[in-house]
Amino acid sequence: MSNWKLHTPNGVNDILPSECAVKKEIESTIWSVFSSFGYKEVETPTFEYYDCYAGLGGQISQEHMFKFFDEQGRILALRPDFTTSIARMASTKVDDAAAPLRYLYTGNVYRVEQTQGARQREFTQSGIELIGSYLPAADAEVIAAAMEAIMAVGIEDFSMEIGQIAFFNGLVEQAGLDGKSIEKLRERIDSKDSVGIKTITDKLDIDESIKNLIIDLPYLFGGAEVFEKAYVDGLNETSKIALDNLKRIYELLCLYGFEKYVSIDLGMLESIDYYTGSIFKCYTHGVGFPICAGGRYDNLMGQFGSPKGAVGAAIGINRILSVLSDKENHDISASLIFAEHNAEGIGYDIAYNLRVNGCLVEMYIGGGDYSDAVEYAKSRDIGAMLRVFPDGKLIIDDFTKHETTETTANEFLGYYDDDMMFEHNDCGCGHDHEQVHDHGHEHHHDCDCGCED
Amino acid sequence: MRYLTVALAKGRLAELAMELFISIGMDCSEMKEKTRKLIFTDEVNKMKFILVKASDVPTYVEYGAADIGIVGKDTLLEDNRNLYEMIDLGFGKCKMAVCGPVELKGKLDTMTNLRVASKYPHIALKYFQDDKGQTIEIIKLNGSVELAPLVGLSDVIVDIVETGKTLKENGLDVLEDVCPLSARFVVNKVSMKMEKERIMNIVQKFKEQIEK
Repeated sequence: MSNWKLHTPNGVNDILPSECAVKKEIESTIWSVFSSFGYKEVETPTFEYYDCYAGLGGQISQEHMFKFFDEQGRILALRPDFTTSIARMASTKVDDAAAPLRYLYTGNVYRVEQTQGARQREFTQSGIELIGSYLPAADAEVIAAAMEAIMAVGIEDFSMEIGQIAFFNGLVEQAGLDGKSIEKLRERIDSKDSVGIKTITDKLDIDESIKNLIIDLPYLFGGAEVFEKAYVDGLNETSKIALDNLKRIYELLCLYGFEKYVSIDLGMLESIDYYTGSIFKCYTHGVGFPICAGGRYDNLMGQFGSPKGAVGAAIGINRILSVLSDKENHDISASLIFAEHNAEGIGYDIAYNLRVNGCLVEMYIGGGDYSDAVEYAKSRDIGAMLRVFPDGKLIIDDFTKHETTETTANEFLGYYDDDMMFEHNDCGCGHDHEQVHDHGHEHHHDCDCGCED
Repeated sequence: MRYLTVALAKGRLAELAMELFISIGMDCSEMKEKTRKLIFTDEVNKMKFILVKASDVPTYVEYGAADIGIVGKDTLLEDNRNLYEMIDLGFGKCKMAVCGPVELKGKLDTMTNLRVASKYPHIALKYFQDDKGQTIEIIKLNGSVELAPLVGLSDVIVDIVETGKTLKENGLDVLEDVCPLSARFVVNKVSMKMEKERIMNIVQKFKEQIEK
């Protein structure tokens, strides 16, 4: 029998400190950008009733959800995305008058994916939902916020593709296709399979201009010129409105200043049961999947009893991370305190004082003598060592400046003088700073030493 | 300029694909030499060609390890990856078919518990269950599939038929056609967006070559 305890299951990963630091930094950068657009953070449960996610036209099919049962036999599922939960929350818990609602979230989602390769079963998404507006300004805002976030994490070379599901819906409505043929056509257009499209359109008895438009759909991508090609004679109302809508979103994004990043792709037709209008995906070099995706989902809120327009975007943090994996991890180096026998109390006191001033301080707990501690410090990212003796003597070894200073704990902490004083603080955070502090508090000194820099 | 990477299905398909690339002005001389190398570079056009097993081509392309792939439609159908399937290259033509003893011709629909052996379990399942609405038992094999009906492992097989010679020699016949097959030009979805001009340029030139 195999022993699995040393392994993680397929599709889930540990994230070690160096990578975790970058990941948290990305998350917090994205958080700041979204929140600067007025989005408020929410949390939803990690699992909910399966029924919540399984509604008509759910974006994620049931074979992609992790399911289990509660004690009454009801089916639960780990959240496969946030949007559904947030829509449920907004429909059931929030006053209608409060619209538009702007929510942001960060957290892990879970999907049963075939994991032969890079597909994860647990991954982090950071996203926003703008609920309560049918206007193109809402779509444009969400897309713009997502692009701001992507740029803020340091990705400059990306492409945001926007499409319109309703335009395709208008075309197939006009062609009079049944559900099964629509799905076939959608699949083939989405995979730009012109051969497959022709086999379907050949059988259709429709306006030649519409037929050609359907055949050309996979190639209707690029800049604003796409609109000219798409506005053919004979478009029905649905398609026309959809196109006007997309054009407006595009214009607004240009006004945001994103013209060089945005392109149109009318052949982008994923999740058409779920999305009802605009749909977008963001791509960059170095990762074979979109780093961000989203769209308008006007039908979802209605499923929870409160029909409203809504649009959202989700950024795949793990994918961003893989693009930025060569990004430098600028760790702030820590100080290491080595307390001689019976000097622990003084050591803890120094550590506390440095920490409240924003320095990173490690206590040496290796059990060895000072030379062992030095060895340890050299193997780690330690900027300075503070050796404390029971009589209060303190020797500071600054590795970055190659300086050794002998002082006392009291002097270092500024306890001995009643007056305000300037002191050179060798906290080891790698910066020189003069600090002003007030003495007298047992465990506190007010200082603007700016160690957190 | 970035390299565009092309994944080619090892074997005859790769040779035909190389000829096509040469015809539009790519330098593939490296590949003509007898060598065990799996990666070839055209420095002038900034192209890289990699040789992989046919069934791995969609994987390389989906993950973006290759921007472009040349692979048979059979592999694409079996794998069902998220890719752009841009051109039918027109070579490597054959078909996917249900084959078996000739006496079963026309009787498949009435058979319950049909046992189907195939190297392509997904294609077989999709054809019988989704298209025909018939529940079947799939037996996945990795080679010499023609043997299965002969030794009673299965009733029929779903396999690629080119000339039908192997079938005839083993006393089997084509019972039903599943779909026509040929080599396809597939593109990673991100590459299509990020390298639109270069890829569309190749697509355009290929189309012109094929129409010749």
